[in-house]
Amino acid sequence: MSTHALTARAAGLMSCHVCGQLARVPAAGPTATQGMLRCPRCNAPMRLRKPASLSATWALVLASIILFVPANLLPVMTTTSLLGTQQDTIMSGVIFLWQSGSWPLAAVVFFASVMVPLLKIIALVHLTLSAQRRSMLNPLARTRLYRMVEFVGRWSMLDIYVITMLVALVDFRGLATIDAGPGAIAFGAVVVLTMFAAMSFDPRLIWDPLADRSTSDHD
Amino acid sequence: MTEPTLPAIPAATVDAPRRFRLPLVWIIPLVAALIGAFLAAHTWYQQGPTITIQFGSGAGLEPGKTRIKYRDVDVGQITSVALAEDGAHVTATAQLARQADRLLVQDTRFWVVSARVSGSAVSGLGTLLSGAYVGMDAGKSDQPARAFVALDEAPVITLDIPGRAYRLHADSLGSIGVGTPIYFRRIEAGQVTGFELDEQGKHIDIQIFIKAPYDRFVTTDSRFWNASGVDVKLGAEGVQLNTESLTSILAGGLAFQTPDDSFDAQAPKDHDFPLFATRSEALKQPNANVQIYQLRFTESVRGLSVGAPVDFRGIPVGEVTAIRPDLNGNGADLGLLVDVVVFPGRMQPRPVAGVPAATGDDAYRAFIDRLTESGLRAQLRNGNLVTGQLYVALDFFPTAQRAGVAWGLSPPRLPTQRGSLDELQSTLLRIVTRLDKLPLDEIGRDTRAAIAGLGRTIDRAEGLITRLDSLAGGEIRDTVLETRDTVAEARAAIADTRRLLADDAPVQQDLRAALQELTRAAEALRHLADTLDRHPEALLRGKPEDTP
Repeated sequence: MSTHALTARAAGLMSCHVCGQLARVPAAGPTATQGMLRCPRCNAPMRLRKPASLSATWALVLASIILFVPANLLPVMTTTSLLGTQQDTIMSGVIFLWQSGSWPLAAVVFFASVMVPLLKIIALVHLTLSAQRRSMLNPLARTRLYRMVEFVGRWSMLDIYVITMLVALVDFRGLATIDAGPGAIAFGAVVVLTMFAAMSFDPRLIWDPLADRSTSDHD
Repeated sequence: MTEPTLPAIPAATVDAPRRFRLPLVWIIPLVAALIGAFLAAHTWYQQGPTITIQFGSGAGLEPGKTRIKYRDVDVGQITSVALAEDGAHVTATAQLARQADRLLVQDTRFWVVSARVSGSAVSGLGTLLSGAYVGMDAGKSDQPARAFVALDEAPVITLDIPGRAYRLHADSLGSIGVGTPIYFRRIEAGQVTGFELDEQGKHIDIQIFIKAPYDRFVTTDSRFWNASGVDVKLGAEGVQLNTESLTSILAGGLAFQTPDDSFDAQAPKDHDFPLFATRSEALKQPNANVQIYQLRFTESVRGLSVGAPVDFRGIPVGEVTAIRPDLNGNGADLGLLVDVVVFPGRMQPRPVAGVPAATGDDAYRAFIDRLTESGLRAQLRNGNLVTGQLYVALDFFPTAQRAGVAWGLSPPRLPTQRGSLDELQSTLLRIVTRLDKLPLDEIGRDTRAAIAGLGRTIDRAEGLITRLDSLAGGEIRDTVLETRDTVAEARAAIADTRRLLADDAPVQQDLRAALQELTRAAEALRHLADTLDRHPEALLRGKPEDTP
């Protein structure tokens, strides 16, 4: 198992995130001095782990959970045409596509706009929670999950792109106009917040409990 | 692979300790929570009342799609449509906006708006594309309500249009329907809002609505009539054609008018009016002040109908109201009683200057008595030779038997005169009777004898002609031939004579020479006579010599 490999932290080393300079952690350690470590080469702040990674992730995930509700309940698009005004939420659009027979499209929209943000939030909650509890179960699987979350994040913006283009293109005064609804803003916020949450989560925290246990075993 | 030695790696520098930093990242969920709370509060605040509307059918109602509109502004939408428990109607639940809260009172009305095409109007065409919506008309009550029963049809007049509603009574509906326009001096002043049969099924109650400001002109003595179609009248003035408007020709219409001399107050709301069939009927003199008389006729009244005019030398002064047999009299002289009304306003003495006009029934009775004494009688006359319609004529018959008005009867009876047609009939009857008395048989017999004699005479004349024919055959031909010879001789004689008389004939020549000679002789003789006259001695001495 690779869990027994020596980590940089265990070796008292750290690397600069800006210039990549490897540096030794001072003997006193950051926790003792409460001061900030700086790169000896480029003077950028240096950290062993992302600071307050878990609390930042929690904050962003919570915010995205709160905004996920209006994102799905409020209309994302208001279509005004000769035939009247119609307001569509994401789910009503999916239902419309499904009923009109465009099942693949409905599936894509449902997956990209409803499932992915939801799964992402669940995954982030799971990762943060397990990291906080210093869980040692399946660290490899959890790391893969993290990679997936980070990769898939940007694709949820698909809906926002479609709405933005429609609003810009469909603007025939009197005949038909499309406006973005408040749900679109909430939805965009959810996507952006989950992306930030994924960024602020430090995947090394998944492995730290294993490393800590192995070092304590050594001691 | 050589591991780097630790001393070769520089140590990270350490900053001075800093004061505690607020974790800024927690502001983000705070803001998100604030936004969420605001949206929730906003939605809750916007959330208006939920109402139920009972519809007869669910046609056009789609949950989540059908809007509720008040004055064409979206105030809510139908959220669910379900059958009522008894299955007799449809109950729709609707979510209304908060602003609509105060509009939901007990007499607020709802109805389904869909495209409607009537004779005079097309409405709701937009619903053909966008689907039906539920119309709403705010009530005036103070009692809030949450459950409503929808109208079957869209109301023609919304509650907030100023004006007044009235009722009309008619015998039949004609071409009137909901929305039929009502005209006042050809301006569209209102509409029919509904109609229903009365309980006995004998009359139609028509609800109408007259918009402000035209409702000011509806007084208690206003007249309403059916202005549908074209009213063509063929009168002594020619053809008269009366219509209200093109729409009313096609789709029907009502009209009303108030008499010009009306001083009645504006009619109160829901006042009842009769609906007249035609304009002329509606604008007849009000029947308030009428005199009723009965007339007794012994002749047939076939062709006389109720409503037939009573005419005074061409002026209509009243009309027939009833016709009935007079069964109370003795059987031998069965008469027919005709009740007539006479409008005294159309037949009254002209006020004489200086004398105050006599008014009242007594004065009018005296006036009628005076006329009757002068010979005023009622008579049945033929108004139309083709259809045989009769009318009652009042006219003077100075030779008529003396009679008076029987004021004692109720109604008083005016004396009558046998009708002109009736008189003609009796005259014809007399002629026919006389014709009947003629000895037609004898005349026929004599005529036949005369014809036989004539036949014999003709036979004899024929014989005479035949004889003449045979005579002409012999003697006449000889005579003709002789005559021809004579004529030829006469012609020769004439030719000789002409030759004798011609210019160049020798006799002519000789005669002319002889005459010239004779003329010369006469001249010589005259000369001699002259000479002798001047010189009578010349007879003795001879011709004297000319002296130089």
